Amino acid sequence: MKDFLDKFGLTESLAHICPGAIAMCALGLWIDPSLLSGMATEAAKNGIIVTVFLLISAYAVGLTLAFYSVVGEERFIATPFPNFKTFYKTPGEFGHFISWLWLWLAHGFPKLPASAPANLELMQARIDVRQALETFPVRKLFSLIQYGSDQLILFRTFYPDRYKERGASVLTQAEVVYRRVLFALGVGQSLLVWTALACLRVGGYAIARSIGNPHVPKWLRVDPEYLFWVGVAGLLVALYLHFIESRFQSWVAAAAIFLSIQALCAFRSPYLLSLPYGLRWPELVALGALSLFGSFRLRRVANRWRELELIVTHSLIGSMVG
Amino acid sequence: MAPPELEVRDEIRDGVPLIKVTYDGDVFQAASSSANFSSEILSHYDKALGSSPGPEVKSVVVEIHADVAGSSLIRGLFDLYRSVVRNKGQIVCVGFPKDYIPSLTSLGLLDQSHFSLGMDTPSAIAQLKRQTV
Repeated sequence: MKDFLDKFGLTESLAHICPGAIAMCALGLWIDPSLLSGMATEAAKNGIIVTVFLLISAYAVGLTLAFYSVVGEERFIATPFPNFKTFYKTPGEFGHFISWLWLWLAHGFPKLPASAPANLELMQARIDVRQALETFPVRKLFSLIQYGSDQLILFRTFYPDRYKERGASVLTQAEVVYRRVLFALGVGQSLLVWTALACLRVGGYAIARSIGNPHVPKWLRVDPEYLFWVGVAGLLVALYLHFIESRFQSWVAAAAIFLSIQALCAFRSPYLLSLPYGLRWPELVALGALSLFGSFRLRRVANRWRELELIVTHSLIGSMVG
Repeated sequence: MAPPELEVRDEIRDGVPLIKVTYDGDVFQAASSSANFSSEILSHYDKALGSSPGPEVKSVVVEIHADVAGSSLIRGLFDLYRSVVRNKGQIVCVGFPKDYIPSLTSLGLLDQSHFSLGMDTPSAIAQLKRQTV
């Protein structure tokens, strides 16, 4: 089976299709069940076309999630922990803290307890790979290849050009481990999508309940018309930050998009007050919490595999010298 | 002998070794820049420790005067880190080019308790003195 998958290059496709499919299932929380049953009837008529369309969509979503999470993980690693001693003194430190918090939530993982010698060995391996890269014609690109995963990929890209068959099996093994990293990160992100959508649903429910409800304190009540325009404004700000300003402040845009969707859904959605598929609110909260937990565990696993990928790739340096 | 683009000096200030590293961006084009950075920084650290009168602390402040960084500088800092940790000391690095900080964090150096970035040299020296006394 493994040989069959490898022969047709299906391993990589599956590594992206699975996370994509999980993320797409999460969207089911927002789709009217009657609409889904209509789709199922349609799918039964055009089985192959619908299946192919769904597979391609899942692959595309999975690919996006995997690369989004790789970049996010690198950004999390490269963003220093906020310095709380200078929190009120340094300009921009609060923004840095919010940015770090968002990165931690979306891409963070618990630091693995490692001994000091193990840390030194890992750092030594990273530096060796970095310096080995400089023997290839990329020396002037240091500022572009500061992230560890980029360095590993570039090193493995340039290596065969100069050393041909030397270390071919190691290269293959490193690629396999890298696919595992992508898979774990992709599934981790798709579980996070579950959490985010569950939170969105619960938050939307809370807002919807507060609209005109006499039992809700006055200061918590929301005017639907006002909420709608807040949503539209938030969405425009998010789009402006993302596309026109070309400096994507992820936490600002994410908060704006979150509030916008909340506001629009609270005002428009007829399905907010009941959950589809017989789900109950405590079950939804539990589902969100479990997804969040699973996401953190997978990121931890991905980090372990990333270390394995580094060690395997690092072993190629020996064959360069020898 | 270091190439002319790289200048490393050492001194003892308030009983704390201070290593000043000055270079321009072209230094990273030299194939031997890695060995130069490491050997220069380490030899000045050893020299500062062995100077008379010797420093009160084994920790060190590294002051960098440059706009760019490269893997050679980072290897130099890492080699220094190994030596300083062996002496149970700490490194505070001042003036590390801001745009290149991700390369330090992705290496893992900033996660280590014996390595930190300082705002300026006087406060870094005061920090090391306070932690040692």
